[in-house]
Amino acid sequence: MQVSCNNVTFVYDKKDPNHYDALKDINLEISKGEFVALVGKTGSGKSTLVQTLNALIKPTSGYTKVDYFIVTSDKKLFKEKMKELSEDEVKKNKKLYLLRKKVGLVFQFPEYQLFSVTVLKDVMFGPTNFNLTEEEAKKVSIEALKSVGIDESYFNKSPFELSGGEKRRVAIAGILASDPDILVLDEPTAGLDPDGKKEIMEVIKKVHEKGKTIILVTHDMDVVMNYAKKVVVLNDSKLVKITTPHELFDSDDIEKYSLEIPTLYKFKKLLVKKGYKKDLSNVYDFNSLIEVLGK
Amino acid sequence: MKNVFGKLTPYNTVIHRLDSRIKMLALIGFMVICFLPYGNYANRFIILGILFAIILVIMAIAKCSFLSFLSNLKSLWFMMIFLLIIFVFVPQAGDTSSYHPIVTFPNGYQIYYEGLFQSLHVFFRLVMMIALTLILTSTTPPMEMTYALEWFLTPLRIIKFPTQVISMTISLALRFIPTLLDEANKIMKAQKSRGVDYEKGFLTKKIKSVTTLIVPLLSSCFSRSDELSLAMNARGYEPYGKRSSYRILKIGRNDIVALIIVFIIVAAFSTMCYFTQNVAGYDNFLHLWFGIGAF
Amino acid sequence: MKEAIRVEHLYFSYEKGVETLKDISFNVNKGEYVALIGHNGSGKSTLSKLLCYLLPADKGQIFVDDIEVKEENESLLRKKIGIVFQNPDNQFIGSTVEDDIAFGLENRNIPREEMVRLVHEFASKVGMIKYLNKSPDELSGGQKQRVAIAGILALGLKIIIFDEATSMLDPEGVEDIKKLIMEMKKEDPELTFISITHDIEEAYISDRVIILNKGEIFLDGKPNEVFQKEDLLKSIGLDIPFIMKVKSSLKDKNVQIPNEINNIEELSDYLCK
Repeated sequence: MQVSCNNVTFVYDKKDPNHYDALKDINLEISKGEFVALVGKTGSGKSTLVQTLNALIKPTSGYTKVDYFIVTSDKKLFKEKMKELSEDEVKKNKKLYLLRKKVGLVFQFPEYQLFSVTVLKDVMFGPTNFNLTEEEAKKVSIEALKSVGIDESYFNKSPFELSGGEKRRVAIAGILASDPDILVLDEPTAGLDPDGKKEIMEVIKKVHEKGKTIILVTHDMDVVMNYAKKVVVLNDSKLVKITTPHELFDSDDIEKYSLEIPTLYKFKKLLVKKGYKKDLSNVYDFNSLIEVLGK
Repeated sequence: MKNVFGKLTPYNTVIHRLDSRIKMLALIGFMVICFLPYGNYANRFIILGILFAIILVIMAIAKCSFLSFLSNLKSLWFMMIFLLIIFVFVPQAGDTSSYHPIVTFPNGYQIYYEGLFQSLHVFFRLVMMIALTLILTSTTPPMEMTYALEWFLTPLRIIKFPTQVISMTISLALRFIPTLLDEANKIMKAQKSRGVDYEKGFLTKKIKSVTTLIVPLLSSCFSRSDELSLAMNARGYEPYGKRSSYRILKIGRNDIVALIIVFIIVAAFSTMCYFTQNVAGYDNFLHLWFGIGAF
Repeated sequence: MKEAIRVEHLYFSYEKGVETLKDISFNVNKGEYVALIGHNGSGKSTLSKLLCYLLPADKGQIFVDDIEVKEENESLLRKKIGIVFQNPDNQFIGSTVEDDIAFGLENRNIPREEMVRLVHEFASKVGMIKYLNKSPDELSGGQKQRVAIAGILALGLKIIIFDEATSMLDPEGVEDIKKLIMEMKKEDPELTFISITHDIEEAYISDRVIILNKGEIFLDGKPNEVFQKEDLLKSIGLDIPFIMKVKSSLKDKNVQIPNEINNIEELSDYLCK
């Protein structure tokens, strides 16, 4: 397993009298090359969970494991886990930046993290922090920018001159340039118009095709339907379901977790309810729907 | 994190209910009597001790947590050391012939009791100031303080001073502090994911890390204020126009009682100050009443 | 029916030589719910700012409830038309819900007793009466937008522009606001809404759709008619609603769906018959 969460629990600000568990006993495994969507309503703990992957948040008990990196604030547990690792791996565990290079985390509205004078320099910032030389950083950054569809003529512009969608792609390039094995994105399509959404999702799809693991936190069920292969549902800080998009939308408990159903599945459910004669069990996207209806 | 001005406590004590103008006046009154001279050091400590006892009683009525008071004091350790160095170890200027030395070094350099007491005295005053402001901030919402401030500034309107604009500016600033803190936190997390380490590194690296926070934060501030001004304009705000006020400050019976109590306390301490300064013998209570030699 | 808004040959540009809006003309009737759609950069938001006199037009005229939009009439206009912006945080001016609803009233110099009454009335209308003394950082995005709407309603404004007011909300918040708009419409048929949106499904249930493209009106009409022009919409890269897509795809397969079927309920009924 590339990523595993083991009894991960996280409590915000224990001293605060109204503290609550943001994560309760989460167990999850993700293997290399998967495309996973993490869904659940606002406040269900999705964003907190992904932040344990690169140690921005450390589980109060239990641990998150990424390859041989152990993330936990439980010192005893950490020591125990270190015993299972080789000497080299223990050494690497002490270097946080190695984990952060491995797990690229793109936050919600990542355009707010841009700060450099030029687009290219901004993208180069990550790789140079991860100890690449100026030249190497430049090379990977140019590649990353091209992969998100930013033209060379933009490289020397100020990032603040770009449009919203462009800024977001530059910010994503800033993470891609560090060549992470695992790309985690928190609401990458939020606030974009349909065109912008599609562009971003196509970029992510391409990264996935290169064999990278994708973990996507999203509210957008159309994105889940069209791109994800596996869905993890969180509700009230607990993991309640690991399934495929198709099964999730077909099931009846989707409303229990206050998730919206894509219109396609709403329609499909209506047809089933009203006793449609043809078999709809293989309908999972628009084309397959038309295929059945048009027969 | 959310409240930089000391946390407003969720109680509804008499002090919480007091008019914010009365509380601010009381704060000023208490601060003044904190800084009045009361004769020699023994006197000062006795009188400030009484004042401190009164403040502790008020803290108890206001249900101020003593723990948060202590944690506020923590940051004063550095200050205390600094004061000691200045008053005790740095040779005193001027006439020191009447001072009482603690030790005399072979080279003639002396450390005096006066230096020690003076630093303790300043320290004591600071502790009381902190206690007083803590009482105010833990019982008064920041907005009410701006209303009070606006009220105190009202006389300035005669000279065409734009008090309304000033108080609107302050209240908007207060309104956006939690929003901006939240945002700063998000930006820092995003930059950490790009390999920034805000804790480590040499000065040049630190400056660079700080720019990765400041630049995006400023740019978001600008765009926020842009949108905010549009929203205010759309809702008919005119800075110099005549506006009515939703919040009104009303003086109740309790407020008058509190005002009288504060007045009595301030008057009592001022009288003591007068006696110690102007009536022979009163600058040294211990000697006057008990015949103990003190300085 | 009376006009709420009339726009005549409107031009606007931020930079010389780059026209953001070109020769825009349209009327909106009182009580109409108009969806204004188009890509980012098509000039939708600029248009909304011109309508509320947050920006002055370069050329052409706008009338809001028969009042011409120009500087002299600014304070009159503020009593006619209100706008809800995209970012819920950046339009929350008061320190608490009640202060924010009162903000516009204070600007109008309305006596305090009246203000208190209005604040309570409209806070309960948008379902925020329980949150009167909450500060914005204790509210969700959807709740903040509700407060913004209450602020507009309390002023008695009859024309409301939603400038992508739901685009930064989570699905729950979006549903919340959509429902509220529908309730408001039902309660007061005089209310006129102009909703700038990317949500094709929302546009589909409006009374009328205006599509802007590169600063010009590309299409204007009833949703049913406008979204029928699939090829035209595709040419500017706009999607069409699910129901229209199904109908047109089935048509290609020689399955005819009658024209009067306009939503998935009706379609499923028809197909199951």
